[in-house]
Amino acid sequence: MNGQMFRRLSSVLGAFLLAVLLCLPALPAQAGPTPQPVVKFAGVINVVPPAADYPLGTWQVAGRAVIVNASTRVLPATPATPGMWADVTARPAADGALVAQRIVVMPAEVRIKGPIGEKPADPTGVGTWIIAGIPITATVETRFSERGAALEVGGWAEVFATETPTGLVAVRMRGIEPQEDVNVFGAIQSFNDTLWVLSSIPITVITDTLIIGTPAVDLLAMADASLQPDGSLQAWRLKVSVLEPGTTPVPVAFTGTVEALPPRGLLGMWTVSGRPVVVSAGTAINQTKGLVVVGAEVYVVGWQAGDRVIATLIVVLSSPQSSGQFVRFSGPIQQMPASGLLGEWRIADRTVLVTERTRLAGTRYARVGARAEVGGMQAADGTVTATWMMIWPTAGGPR
Amino acid sequence: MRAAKNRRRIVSLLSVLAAAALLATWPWPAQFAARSAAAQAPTCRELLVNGGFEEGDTGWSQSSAGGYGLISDFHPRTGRLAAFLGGANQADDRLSQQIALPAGVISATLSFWWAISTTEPGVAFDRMAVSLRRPDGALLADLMTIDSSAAENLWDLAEFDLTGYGGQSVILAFHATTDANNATDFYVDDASLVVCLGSKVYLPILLR
Repeated sequence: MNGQMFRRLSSVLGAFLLAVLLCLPALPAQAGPTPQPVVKFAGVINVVPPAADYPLGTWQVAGRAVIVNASTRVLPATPATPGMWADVTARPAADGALVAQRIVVMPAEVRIKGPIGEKPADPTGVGTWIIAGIPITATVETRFSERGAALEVGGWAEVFATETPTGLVAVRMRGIEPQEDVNVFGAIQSFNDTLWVLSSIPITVITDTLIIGTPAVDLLAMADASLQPDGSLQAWRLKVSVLEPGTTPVPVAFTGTVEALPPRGLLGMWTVSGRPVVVSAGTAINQTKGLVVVGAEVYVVGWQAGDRVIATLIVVLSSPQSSGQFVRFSGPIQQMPASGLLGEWRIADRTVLVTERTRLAGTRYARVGARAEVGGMQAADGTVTATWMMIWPTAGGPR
Repeated sequence: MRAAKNRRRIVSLLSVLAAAALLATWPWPAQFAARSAAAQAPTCRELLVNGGFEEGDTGWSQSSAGGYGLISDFHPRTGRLAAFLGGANQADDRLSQQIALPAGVISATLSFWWAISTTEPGVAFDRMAVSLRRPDGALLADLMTIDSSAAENLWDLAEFDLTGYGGQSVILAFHATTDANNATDFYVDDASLVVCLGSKVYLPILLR
């Protein structure tokens, strides 16, 4: 090879290298094989890497090994310790090991939304509270917020608490509006066909309970439950914080217009923007922004089963029948329809219209003098069209 | 012959200089940024006053339709206090701080931690907008919008590059609004705006 050829070759190589270098910023997005599907789960941290290597190395969360490398985003930067909770987003590597893309570490705080059955006499709030039938201790360290609603017996609270050997201790507690269901978010400590224990809180499971996701000890789960007259919690829906393509159903969420509803009630087949949607007793239907009618715009969450969507949650975003204000209240039943449950009721000095589309619970206790809690749309004349109603056998209701 | 060789050398030298200039000014992706930073000797400082809210509302302007204070001990990420917007129905809460970004900044990084807690059913009914505004209130940039569909009770870190706003006075604004029911709490803590000043130094490229 003479000098001239060498120079030409060098020029060509140089130009090629420069071109490659200039194209580098665009390359990473196009390179590499098709990524594996994302696995998401949340659970109790069992093992973290040694302090010298933290956060790099192998973590164990809810019994699963997860590799954290330099590309993993770990939040917050302060070291996690076993017993804390973590929200993990990962991809399986070629050898099947889970490589974390993101881990969010959080304190192990069980969350409860429920009615306040008892509160301490101490005006500072220190003492024992009964919330959703669960005793919770507030200390001088507990922080309170009444910005959203007063923390009073009969009202509702959201509590974040830690598990201690002597029971649940509240970290913070805020007043909220009454909800349709009690809600408990905690770590699965045990589970079988009749009882789950989430962060020391027993939740009864019945045949009709909808279970979403495969449970495992140390995974986090959310229970939507109703408070029973004996003070226990009975789940109508349990959702495990795990999403594993291939083993859990394909999740789906979309917004659309209700085009058809079942002839009676809300359970059955809906058509939402041309898609058949199955609504069961396990489907949560939120009508706080408007009533479910044909023409309502709804947000549907569920999973795909063939050409159908099995709905787990439907939220009304807007509705032709939304004139009025959403209200929730409770009080004694003063008057009932002459026969059956549909028709006009008088509850806490208000006229309540119960329709085929009202979700009713505790109907076996329905009688004048029993206590009812109602959520619905209040029209200009004061009449409330109930979207849900819970009835308890005594005027005081469960604690 | 000798003149032709000299011409070739001059052309080669000019090509090398042009390539070096191109390499030095090309907008390299983030993985190259550390290399550039190593070639500088910046002085960095914090511009945000009381970003951790530990001194109450010092440095911040606040207003709330509900009349409540927006600095609270209810849910701090670190320390004793944090900003707490929303948390009530029909909330219209604003928290802001004016900052003068010096001219000649080589980097300006805004960061803050945020979290939400809500009784909304996983849909974006309630929102908190984070924006940059001019001192007269005109919008400069929408940085992000956090809404009630976000995962609850997870503190997340938001980071933004404000280098392009060097030499300007800007207002960092948090604005939370909630609808008529199912209130959402928006928490903010440990906010920071670090600017670095210095002159860029371009390292020579050595070719053999």
